[in-house]
Amino acid sequence: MPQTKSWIVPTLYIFFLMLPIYWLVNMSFKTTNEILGGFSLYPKEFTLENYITIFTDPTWYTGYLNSLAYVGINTVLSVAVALPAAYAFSRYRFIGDKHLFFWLLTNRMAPPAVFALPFLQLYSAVGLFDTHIAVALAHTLFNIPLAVWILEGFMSGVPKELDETAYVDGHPFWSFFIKIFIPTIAAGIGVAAFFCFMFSWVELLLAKTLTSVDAKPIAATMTRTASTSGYELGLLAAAGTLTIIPGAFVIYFVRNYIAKGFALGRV
Amino acid sequence: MSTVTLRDVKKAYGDTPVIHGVSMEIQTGEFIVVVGPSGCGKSTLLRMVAGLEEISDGEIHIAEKLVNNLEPRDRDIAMVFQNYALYPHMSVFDNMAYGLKLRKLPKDEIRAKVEEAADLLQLRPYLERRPRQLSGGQRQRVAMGRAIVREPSVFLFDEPLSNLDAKLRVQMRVEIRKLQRRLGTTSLYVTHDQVEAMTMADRLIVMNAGVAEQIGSPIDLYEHPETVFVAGFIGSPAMNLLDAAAFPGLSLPTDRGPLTVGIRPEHLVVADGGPIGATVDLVEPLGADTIVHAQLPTGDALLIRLPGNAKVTQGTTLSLAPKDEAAVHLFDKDTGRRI
Repeated sequence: MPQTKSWIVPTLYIFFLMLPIYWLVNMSFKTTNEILGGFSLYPKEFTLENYITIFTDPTWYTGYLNSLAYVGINTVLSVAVALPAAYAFSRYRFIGDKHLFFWLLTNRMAPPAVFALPFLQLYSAVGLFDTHIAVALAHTLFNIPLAVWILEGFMSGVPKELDETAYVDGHPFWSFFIKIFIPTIAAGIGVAAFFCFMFSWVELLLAKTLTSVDAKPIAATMTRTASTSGYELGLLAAAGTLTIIPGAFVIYFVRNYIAKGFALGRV
Repeated sequence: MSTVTLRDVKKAYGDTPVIHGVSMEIQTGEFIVVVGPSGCGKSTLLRMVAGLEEISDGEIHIAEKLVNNLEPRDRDIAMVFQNYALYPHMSVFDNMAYGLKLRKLPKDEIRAKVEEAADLLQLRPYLERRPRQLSGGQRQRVAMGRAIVREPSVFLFDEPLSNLDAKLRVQMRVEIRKLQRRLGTTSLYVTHDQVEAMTMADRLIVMNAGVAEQIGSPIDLYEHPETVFVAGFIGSPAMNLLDAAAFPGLSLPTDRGPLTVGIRPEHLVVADGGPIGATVDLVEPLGADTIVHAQLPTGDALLIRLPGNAKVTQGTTLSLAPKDEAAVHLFDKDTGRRI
């Protein structure tokens, strides 16, 4: 019977999906010697040394702090700017609104790499090079259009009568927007923030180009595979494992809203 | 004193006029229903009174105050929408209390007012719930409650019952009417449902293509429709409106140009040797009365509503006569106006 075997395909799928992640975690608990020495399905000499190094060595943990700093700034900035923009697109008709809405996305049609050089020169000229705000601003170029697009979908799902009731009730516009409208589309804000976070968290090229020391992201630190003590593969695996955690954490909180966003056809 | 006065109110989007000048005086405590097919401008008219649409020309006075340039919140109105527009993240209590909080009323006064309205609407057990935990009818009541607690000069209703099922709609329309009588608040109510309009209104405005075709009491409109449109719109089943040529047996004036003759289905009676002969196509027995679909010799369809369970068989020819002289409505065929 086909029904009794129906677990095979999903199991295989999940197995292959989880395999690289398992391998990364597996490696992070091994010593570099064991990794280079041969093939083992689980750590024979279990060690937490890699993690200890990351949490104690400033060159490693400041990478995380830097990444979290600019990702945080970027997410807040993108959503804060996208909220009023999305409201305008969803509620008002103005000349060229549909075209503008579409062309917003053109920023996402080019690979981030093409902007690396212009950004580098611009930020160097205004003295923003190697700051968190530089990377955060560079990422807004990609994240604001995305956030506007997502939020507009959620906002258009809220009937205009809600706004009108509030005006009749006596709300000034901003009081309505902050106290009524934003809580109503909280799910959408969660989804938009999630996508901004994810883009900014995994984007390497711009982040690496626009920083040198003070704002160097973790992904850039990780490109340093070899050091004076040779290859540090265990350390690298541990660092990689730790980069998955914030993303997994954020996904866990917005997973239901993302499903809702997909249902609206906007994610 | 909460009268509403419209003086030649017009609305145009660019060069396209959508409301062609509506004038009306609404007395304190009156329940006015604006009725018409979709796209006739009835909602636009209501939204102009609310201040949600700008007025292109004319004047609107609420409680004897010119409100043309006032914001909705300064017009002393409350509005109930078709989709209720409740604040989804607030409890029923907060939904109803919010307008009062914005006016900075003391807390215990707010509570007293909300609870009074909740009792009136039988919402007391639901005050702590969220809107999504309520049924459609309950949500409708919360929307009503939100309007009531503010004690406005005027209630504005924009098709408030259209999202409810048929049975609940009938029940709610009685409730709204009773509530409005009790509170004595002037009300403007928009609907596309002519039965709702007839049963609820003190006076009706029948709108068509941005024009107020006729303003009057339901019975007035039923008995003396001023235009062919009103004649066809008010009453169910709709009035038979045919060319004079379809009724050769009736003695109609001949000196008035081409005529449209209107006879309501319920105003036709079976009479031996009656002036109208029609062949029965279909019989719909409804119990209380019987709707007969018939065909005139000219090929035009004729609806007849006979009282009780009339014994009519398909294919037979009925001899019919208008009940009395007032049952025959004559309209100018070109202008559509009553003669």
